[in-house]
Amino acid sequence: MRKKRSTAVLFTVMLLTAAVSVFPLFSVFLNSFTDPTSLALSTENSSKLFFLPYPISLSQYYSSILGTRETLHFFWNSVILTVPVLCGGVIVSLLSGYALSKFRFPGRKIAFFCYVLLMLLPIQINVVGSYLLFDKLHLIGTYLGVILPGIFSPFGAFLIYQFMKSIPDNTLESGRLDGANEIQLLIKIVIPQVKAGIASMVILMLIDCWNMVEMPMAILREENLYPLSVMLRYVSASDPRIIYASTIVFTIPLFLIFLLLKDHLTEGIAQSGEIKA
Amino acid sequence: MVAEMKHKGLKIGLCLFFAVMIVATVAAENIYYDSLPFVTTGEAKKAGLSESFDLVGHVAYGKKKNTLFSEFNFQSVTFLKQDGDTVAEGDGIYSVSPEEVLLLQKTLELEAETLKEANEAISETGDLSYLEKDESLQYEINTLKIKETEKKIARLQELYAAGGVVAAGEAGEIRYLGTSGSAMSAGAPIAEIEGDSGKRWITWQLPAETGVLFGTGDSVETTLSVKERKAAMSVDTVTVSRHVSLTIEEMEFSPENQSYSFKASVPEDLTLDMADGTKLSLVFQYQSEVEYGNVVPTQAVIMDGQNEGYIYVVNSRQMVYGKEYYVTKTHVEIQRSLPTDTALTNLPEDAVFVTSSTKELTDGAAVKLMEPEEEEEEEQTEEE
Repeated sequence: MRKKRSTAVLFTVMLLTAAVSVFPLFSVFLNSFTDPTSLALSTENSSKLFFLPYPISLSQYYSSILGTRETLHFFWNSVILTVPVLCGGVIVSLLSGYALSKFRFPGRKIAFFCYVLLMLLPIQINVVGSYLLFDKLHLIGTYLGVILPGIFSPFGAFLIYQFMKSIPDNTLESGRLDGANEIQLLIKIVIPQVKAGIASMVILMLIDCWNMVEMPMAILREENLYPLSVMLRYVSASDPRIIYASTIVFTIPLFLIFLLLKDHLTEGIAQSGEIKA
Repeated sequence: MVAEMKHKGLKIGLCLFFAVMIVATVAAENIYYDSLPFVTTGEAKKAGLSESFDLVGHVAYGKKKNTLFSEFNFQSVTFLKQDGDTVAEGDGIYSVSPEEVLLLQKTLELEAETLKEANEAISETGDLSYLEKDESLQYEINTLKIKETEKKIARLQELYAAGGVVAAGEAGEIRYLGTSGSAMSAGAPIAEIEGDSGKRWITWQLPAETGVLFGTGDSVETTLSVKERKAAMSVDTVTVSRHVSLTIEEMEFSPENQSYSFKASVPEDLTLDMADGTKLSLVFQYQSEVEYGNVVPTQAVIMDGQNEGYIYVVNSRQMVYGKEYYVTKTHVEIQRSLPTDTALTNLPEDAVFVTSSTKELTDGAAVKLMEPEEEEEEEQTEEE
């Protein structure tokens, strides 16, 4: 009886917490289908929360996508920044993780320690150092100044390292004996076994990169280069009525890719649990 | 299976999303640019103000008025013409009854005789040397009165011989100043005859804003065109043009019409057949003597509610999606304005301004510049 009561209390607390967490996104989604005029009138007169959009209208989406050019311009800036970071990051992380997990070389432990340390430091601390470095390299105000730090992020290498640690060394030895070089071993033996890890890395890097704010603001000088994550406030300032639709448009690709790869993510989390065990 | 289909669906959804975003990007660009107004631009030039005039003038014959006064006290005067009738020299204008004329004549003759007798009483011989001053003065007065009376008698005799009819001394249009059949005192005006003075004028009108450019004494080099008949009995006409110099002799402002009327004599060497009221085409140009620093087309200057002028100056700015042109409302002071050109002050140096726009402009509005080829095409389309 006591156990049932405590379970019920726990369930209620979890439900409330989930509701509080989910409610903002839920509200944004519903309000994106509300007519902008009635939305503007209602927010001026009161701070009522809308649970059901009335009248239902797609005019916010029309205004956000076709009515103004800013939303799409910044959206494509986000794509231009994210795709190279993902592609380059995956390649660099695979190579780094493979080297850290499977090779024995002087300074390996120090290098790994530096990776972990960098991973633990907040990005705000890295910004100043990155700015000074890229200023010397004349990369300030260019996309490369944002893409390069993303590609060489330590988090991806660390995650892949964790997954590659579980691959038995004898598998690789037998491959070497068969005459395969390291790249062939990586591509044909290692990568197929760490697909879950790669998927996890992609999702987490995607979330990190798609939502980045500090690095673009620090490195990119011109507003027309900023991604939508930074300029969403600008779009909404020019026309506050389209903020909800712009937010949903910004979230859709992330959501779709997450749905596509979430099975791999859960598999990856499960595998990492097994590894720890 | 279900998972595979779900996977496939998500991939298609993702591809569809990006395809929609690509199409929307292109569409949004087109929608935005289509909404922008096209503007034509110009730059200020340092020049004098010029204005071309192409207007209709008229030939006007000069008139003079001659007033006829009654010479005697008549009991009844009969008008022989109607108001507005054209009379020739020698035509009867009014008549008095011959009996009345004769009566007047005899009365005056009696008067003359009386004066003569009075003089004879003063001096039979006419020698005034031995007379007192007052007597000699009276004699002279009587003599003068006799002469005057004899003149009047002679005039009445002429009138009687003409049957009491008074004739017009010149041709023209008559206007009576009294009532037919009524009495007329000596010296009272009976009629006016408006005749041709022999002067020939060319007249034209200009609105107040352009009329002020000219003054009395100004010379206007104009191409004057008039339609003439090809032959005396022909109905076909041909336009004949001459280049003449007209000197403005009179100008008058009409507050009701807010316009100026101008008069210039027809040059003596102009040998065109021009009757009174003939329509002429006048083409001439005005060029200011003063040169202005900023002359712009008048259509570029807009007047606001407070009667202050402003123009839209074109600037460029870097936007998130590239370079864009926009306009800023700039107040200007108008030095002088003509229908074609306007002289301004306080215009920014090297400013490029809007001369025309396809839509109404507001301060800060984005615009598209019409290319010169597009401008020519639009002008051709308008002409067609």
